[in-house]
Amino acid sequence: MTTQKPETAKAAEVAVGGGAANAAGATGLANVAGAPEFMPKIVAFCCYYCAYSAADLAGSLRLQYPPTIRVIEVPCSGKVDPVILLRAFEEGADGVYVAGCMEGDCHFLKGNFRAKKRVQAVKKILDQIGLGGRRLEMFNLSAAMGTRFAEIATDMTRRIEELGPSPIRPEALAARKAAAGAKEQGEVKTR
Amino acid sequence: MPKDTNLPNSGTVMVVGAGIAGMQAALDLADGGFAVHLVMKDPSVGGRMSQLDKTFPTNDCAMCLLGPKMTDSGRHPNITMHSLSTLARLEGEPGAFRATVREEPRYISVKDCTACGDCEQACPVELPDQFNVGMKSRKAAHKYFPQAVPNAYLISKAGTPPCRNTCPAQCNAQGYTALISQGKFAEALEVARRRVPFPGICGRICHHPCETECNRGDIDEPVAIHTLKRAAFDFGRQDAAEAAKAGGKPAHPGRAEVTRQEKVAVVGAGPGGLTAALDLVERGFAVTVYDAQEKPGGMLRYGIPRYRLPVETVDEETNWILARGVRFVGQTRIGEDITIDGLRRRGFGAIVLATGIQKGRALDLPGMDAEGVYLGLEFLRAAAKLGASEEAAGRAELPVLDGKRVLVIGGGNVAIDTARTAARLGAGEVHVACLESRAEMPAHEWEIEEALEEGVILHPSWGPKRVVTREETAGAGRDAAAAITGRREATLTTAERDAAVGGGGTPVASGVEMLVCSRVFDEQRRFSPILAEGTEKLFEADVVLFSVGQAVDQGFAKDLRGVELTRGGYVVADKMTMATAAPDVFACGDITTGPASVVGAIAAGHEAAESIGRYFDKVDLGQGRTLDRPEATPTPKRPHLVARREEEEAADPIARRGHFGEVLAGFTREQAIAEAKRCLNCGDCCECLQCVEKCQKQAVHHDEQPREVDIPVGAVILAPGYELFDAAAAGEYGYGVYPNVVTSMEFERLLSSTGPSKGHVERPSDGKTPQRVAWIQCVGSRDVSCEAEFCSSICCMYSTKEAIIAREHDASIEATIFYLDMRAYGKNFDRYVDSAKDTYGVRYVRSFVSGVREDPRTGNLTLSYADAEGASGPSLVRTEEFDLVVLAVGVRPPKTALDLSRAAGIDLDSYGFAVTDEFEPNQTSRQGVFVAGAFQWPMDIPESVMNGSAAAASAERLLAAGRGRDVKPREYPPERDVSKETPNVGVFICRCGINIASVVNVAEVVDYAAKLPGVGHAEELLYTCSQDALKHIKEVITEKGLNRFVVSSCTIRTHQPLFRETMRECGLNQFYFEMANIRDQCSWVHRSDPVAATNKANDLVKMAVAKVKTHEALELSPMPVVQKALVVGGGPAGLTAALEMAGMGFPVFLVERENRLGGNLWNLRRTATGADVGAFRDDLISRVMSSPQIEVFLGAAVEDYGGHAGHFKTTVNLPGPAKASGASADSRPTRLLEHGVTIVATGAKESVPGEYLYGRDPRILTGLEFEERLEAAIAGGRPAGVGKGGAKNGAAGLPDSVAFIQCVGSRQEGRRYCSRTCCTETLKNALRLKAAKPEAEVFVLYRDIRSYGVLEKYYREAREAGVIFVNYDPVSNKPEVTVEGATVEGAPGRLTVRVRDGATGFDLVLHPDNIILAAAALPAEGARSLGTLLKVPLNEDGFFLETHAKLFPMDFPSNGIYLCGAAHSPKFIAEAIYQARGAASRAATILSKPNLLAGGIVARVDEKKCAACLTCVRVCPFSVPKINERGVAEINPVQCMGCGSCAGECPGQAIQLSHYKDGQLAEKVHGLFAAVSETAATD
Repeated sequence: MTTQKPETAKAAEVAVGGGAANAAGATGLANVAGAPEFMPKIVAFCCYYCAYSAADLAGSLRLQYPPTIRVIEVPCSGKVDPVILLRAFEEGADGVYVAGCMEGDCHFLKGNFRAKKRVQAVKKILDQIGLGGRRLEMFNLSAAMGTRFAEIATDMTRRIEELGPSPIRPEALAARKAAAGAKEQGEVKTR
Repeated sequence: MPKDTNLPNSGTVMVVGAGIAGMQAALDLADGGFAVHLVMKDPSVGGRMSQLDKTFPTNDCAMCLLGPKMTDSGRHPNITMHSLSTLARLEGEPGAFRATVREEPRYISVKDCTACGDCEQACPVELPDQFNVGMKSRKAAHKYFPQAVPNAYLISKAGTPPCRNTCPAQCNAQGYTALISQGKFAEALEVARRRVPFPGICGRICHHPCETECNRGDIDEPVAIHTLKRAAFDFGRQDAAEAAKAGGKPAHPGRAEVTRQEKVAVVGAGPGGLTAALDLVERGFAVTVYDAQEKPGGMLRYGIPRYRLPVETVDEETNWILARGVRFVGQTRIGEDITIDGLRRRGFGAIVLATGIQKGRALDLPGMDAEGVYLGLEFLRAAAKLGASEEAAGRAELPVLDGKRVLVIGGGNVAIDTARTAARLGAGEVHVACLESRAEMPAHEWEIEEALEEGVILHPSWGPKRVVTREETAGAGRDAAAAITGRREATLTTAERDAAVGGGGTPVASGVEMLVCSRVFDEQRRFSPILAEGTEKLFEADVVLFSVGQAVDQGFAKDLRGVELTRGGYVVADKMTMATAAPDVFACGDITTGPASVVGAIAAGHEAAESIGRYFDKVDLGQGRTLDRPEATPTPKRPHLVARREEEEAADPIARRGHFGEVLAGFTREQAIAEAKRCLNCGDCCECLQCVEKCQKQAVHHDEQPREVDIPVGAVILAPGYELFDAAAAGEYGYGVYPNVVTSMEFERLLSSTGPSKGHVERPSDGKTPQRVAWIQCVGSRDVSCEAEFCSSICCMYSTKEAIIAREHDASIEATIFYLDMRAYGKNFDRYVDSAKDTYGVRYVRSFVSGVREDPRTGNLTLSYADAEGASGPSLVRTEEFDLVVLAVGVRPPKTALDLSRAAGIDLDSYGFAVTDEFEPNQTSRQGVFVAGAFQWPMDIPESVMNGSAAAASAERLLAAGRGRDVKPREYPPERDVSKETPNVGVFICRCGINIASVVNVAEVVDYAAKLPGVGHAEELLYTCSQDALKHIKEVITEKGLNRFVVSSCTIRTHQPLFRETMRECGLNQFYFEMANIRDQCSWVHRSDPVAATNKANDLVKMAVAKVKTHEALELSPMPVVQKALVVGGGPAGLTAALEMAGMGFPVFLVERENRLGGNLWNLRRTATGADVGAFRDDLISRVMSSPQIEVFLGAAVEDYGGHAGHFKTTVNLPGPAKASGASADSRPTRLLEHGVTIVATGAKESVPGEYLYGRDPRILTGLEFEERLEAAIAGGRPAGVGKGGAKNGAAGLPDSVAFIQCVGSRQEGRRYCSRTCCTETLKNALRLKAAKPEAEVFVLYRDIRSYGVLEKYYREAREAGVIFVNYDPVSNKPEVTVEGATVEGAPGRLTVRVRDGATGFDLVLHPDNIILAAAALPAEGARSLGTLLKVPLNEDGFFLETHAKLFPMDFPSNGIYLCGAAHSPKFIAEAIYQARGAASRAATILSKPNLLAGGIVARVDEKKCAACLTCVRVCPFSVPKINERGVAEINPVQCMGCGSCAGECPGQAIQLSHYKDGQLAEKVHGLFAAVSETAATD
């Protein structure tokens, strides 16, 4: 029973708790400030048995979190493959995450471990191509963790807000194209 | 032993209890083709498990495990749910029972409720939330818990609260109080007005008997109910007016529509008459009210003084009533201006007499006619006219009182009103004299007090003799005139004396001669005053006001026309119906009862109106009506804080005498809210009906009644679960007194993220995170003083789990568990406890905690306990401080056990659990009634699941012939092939009442959806899931030729099956459907940002539309099932499983390695209860051998195994068939068996100890060896106490002393599990020896005595029999066994055991005749190779590993293969039996079907792309993919679980998961980001 442990544990708790409490406030403030508002679009691949259920529970409990998350339900986080993760970024997602059951609790025994590995691999790719692995994350939560779902949504939104819009958002690409086009008309070709 | 007779009658089973055991039984039965009635006392399925945060020993989230089973139970077509229901009676015979179920009302229709929660939002009543063990509050309208199934709200009601019950008018005081507590004054006013049309008036002048009865009075002071009613009026009308101005509903509902031909006349516009009139107008009658006075109100206007009731209030309230359409005709007196017959002639079909009693009563005394003598009532009536339009009339009728002395005679309220009015009219001194003593005065105490404050002088116990005139006083001198105050001389001026004779000769009163009144009432409480002659005293007064009662104005008596009167002149009317002798005349109020209360008159008015309605409708007046009031609800058993009653402000007594302004100010808004919060909500629901108004589905029905339904069933399964011990009964731990002493269930809720602190561990006293947390075990278990001799079986493990989870939540928590024996006897339990110690640092202290004390300053708790650690002498008492103490409360039989046992006709044991037979563990004392779960005895979740399945199996065997009889498969139209059609999507956006629509702009989403490419139809619906909406959808789909369907509403978890069903009903493949969750995952979580929420809803719809266009029809194709089973293992489990399935009618192949059946049953003689194992074994074997359904293969082994669920192919290696059937002896050695399921029951065996000199000395035996010898010796055979060929010991062939050593080979490195049965086996043999030879010395050297559950009895009996228990530590002082002093002649030396007793610290040296080693149980030989063949896993101990410890304790990950018995983990015979039955029940879910449906959402291999890289084979957690003969991967759709792990991993993307194909998910992602054209979509 050491005395150092409590402090770290407490610090973590405060950070987590504060996240939930300030969730609505953060977006609210951004609106009030009148700054050019960046509302990220984040795709969340949620397994049916835990994460999707936890999202529903967050609703039942009327927990509030930023309206940035678009949930795509999958039977198991183990279904999510690297291609679809990359595809989401390619289409213009500012952030993506995979949410599966708690480790050891997977309804399909080990799917969430598969997902974890793949997310790690894709994070590396994102780092390599300059998009940044921090735009992708893997989370584990149980069906009873409505609060945790809201926290994750809030934390991820914050993170993406910090990182800014995805550079391959269609409008970002269009803007760049326009800028480039103004300089050297006709040279830039897009797919 | 039950026979395998099949009763043909029924295919229906009732399951009582819907916890994990009940649900498991119901699901197995329903899946096996039986109709199930699931009867539960709770509002939801789930039972205790739903309250748990995590489960041991896997730390799985309880709700994750339970949720899918709950949902499955909820939507299974073969399961009918009866919530809030109990079994009332069970009549008939097995196979043909008639079960009567009593259903309590939910008050919200399950069918109609959409679980939107609008009712809950509107509900003003906060109650403790039972689901959170009272640690949180919930509304009266609530959902039991967020995941409840049925997913519906309900309302809790406790009865009629005393306030409402006492009120003559039944005014719903709790209702308006609850609304006021929420600041909803306008709504409160509406509620008050429902039964009291004059809430503003009653809020001021009602005598409020409700407050006298208020239960809060038992705690501190009653709630100020009547002042709250006034607040409801005062503020409610303001709020209503403002709301109306803001565009809300109008403050007044307007004129009621006249819908009836009949007209009613009401005579008298007092409270009774107006109430009747209003009720009748609301019923659609035309009503005219006649009154002698100019304005309506009666006594309210012309009797009650203005300082109590402002005339404005009377105006407002009477106007409110008239504005509803009541016609008022004033200055019309019955008997003079109108008559009863006259009214009849004018066409009034019914007449209400409500004239009241208008005349003051005069006394027959001398001098009553003197000037200056008035009647109080008339005086008040005149005074009431002041300050209003009738001022002049009032002035004319009133005497001038300026400065005069006034004497009021009378002690009632009218007298006090008269006195106080006189004071306000300028009287000098006001005196009140009355017959009654101060305490007897009929006036309300508060009225008297206020009068005294205003200077009124009271003279109780005086009665008037005569009125004295001035003439007399002048003549008789002044002596007698000074009586009134005794303070001043009565002096009469000459002028006054002159005046005394008065003008016109009328004598003028100068006072009243009074006599002392010695008693008012006689013994019978009849009014019979005695005035003492000779006590005459003159009370001098200028004005005398008699307020001694009221009299009937007999005006109408001239014209009765059938109406009867009493001798006192009152109208004779029925007390209940208000009917008079004339059928068309009704009477109410004072005219029928004599002077009574306003609220009494209102009550009578309601009744008269009701009767008139019935009179016109020709309905019996008395039907369904009663004068009896139900018993009011008692004070609710909830913790209440003492809170003082709010006091309203009163005007200054001196100042208020000067005017008629209101004395009392009423509450401020804040005061009213604070006061209203004091209400205890005795009735639970307050019936304010806000929910009715808010529910757009009209699903709320407050008048629902309990009902009983008779259901024919073939069998009944009782699974009512268990109760937790009431910790308050164990006083030494301070539960209920010290806030930081909590029960384990409370701690469980503290850990839960849906609990009161959202999963943050906080202590109740101050919300701080506790650092030092102690668990105290065995609170209410193993304690005869708590009426629980038994062990609760689960607490050691749940405390370990709670300690671990607490540490996971907050690593700084120091967890200590105080225990007696750590009973980690289950599969993987010991490992779990080890991990708690080693990984989580949980401290275990083996000690009994004798008491808990609180430090009141810190709220910390000091525990006292005996400590033997390190002490070498007697134990010491230690104390230690903790921040939080958790009591591991024990298990009790359910509270409903007694009622249930009576209803079901079954016996209970002495503890209150169901009586069962050891070898028939699910069979109750009544045939056809089975038990499952903790009602049998305390058990954990996996055991309950096994047990639930076992009970299902028993019922299925009983009703084998009825399988499928009572369930009807649904029929659908043939599916239309739309694969060639262009996608034409219908999108339905749900408003969900206001749940979605109040946040998301639904119309905008509809517009948006309509523009999406491929969308052929988009519309919004109020509730998409309602029956009418579904019908409409079907019409639209057909009409518009839609071939894809998107619903944008709530969650797929609850509603997707419903909409898929709709698709099938339209003849479309159910997979052409997609749902967008815009409620749970949008409107509910983005309430503050409607714009962003609408954008998100648009996105979600767009994604759904994009994906649904790519959907394909998925077929579920039937794969034939070989309806036969293979059982591997012929021990108790295998034999039972085989018999069970054979009994259900399925052929069974039974394969046994040995050459005989019976397994370990050959090694045991008796069970702990004394049952004869041999007899059981012989019966079991003979039933198997004689069963035509079972083919037995002895000495056989599985050689090859293939196939899949529904059709396995097994090759067995045979030495020769034991029971000839087909294969001849020559055709050895193999046989190919085809079967649909496999049950693994390979059992376990006793290990051969490798320590304690076992095998080196014949006196050292294993438990089984000793049992064999002991039983033989007792039976008179060879001596027990010999080793292998050793010498005889003792007189009866029994040893003089023995030492048992426990845990030999168990719970140690390399075999870290408990062998579960050895403690009880040792107790059994120790008791057996002691019984046969009481003087024998018996020592048991143990680590923990694990006699869990009801087995605890044998531990107690052993201690009582003198068995000495010595606790040893396996690390620091393991027993040492030696043989000392071996002699040269070869005679054996002394057996010696050295051990240190852990409890006392003493070193012991024993010399027993025998040492008995409790040898560990090992998995059967060949288990591992069988596992490899079947491709099913084993755990590290070599036992088979089930899919999931909690959820599927009998299932293997591969579909169609099950396990049971000791192959799963060591266990007792009874446990093996029920697990075997459970496995049979699981197997029956497949065997019962001629076909399995394969396909749907499964992985499919594109053979052209497959490189046979084996990735899928490696990845699949269920070992489904195989490389087939074509050299490519093949995934059997029957076995595939549809997780998509292989598809996610396949490097060549050769595998796709149907419905979630790469392309489909990509389209969904693309849909999210694709731009939408502004023009409407065209195909």
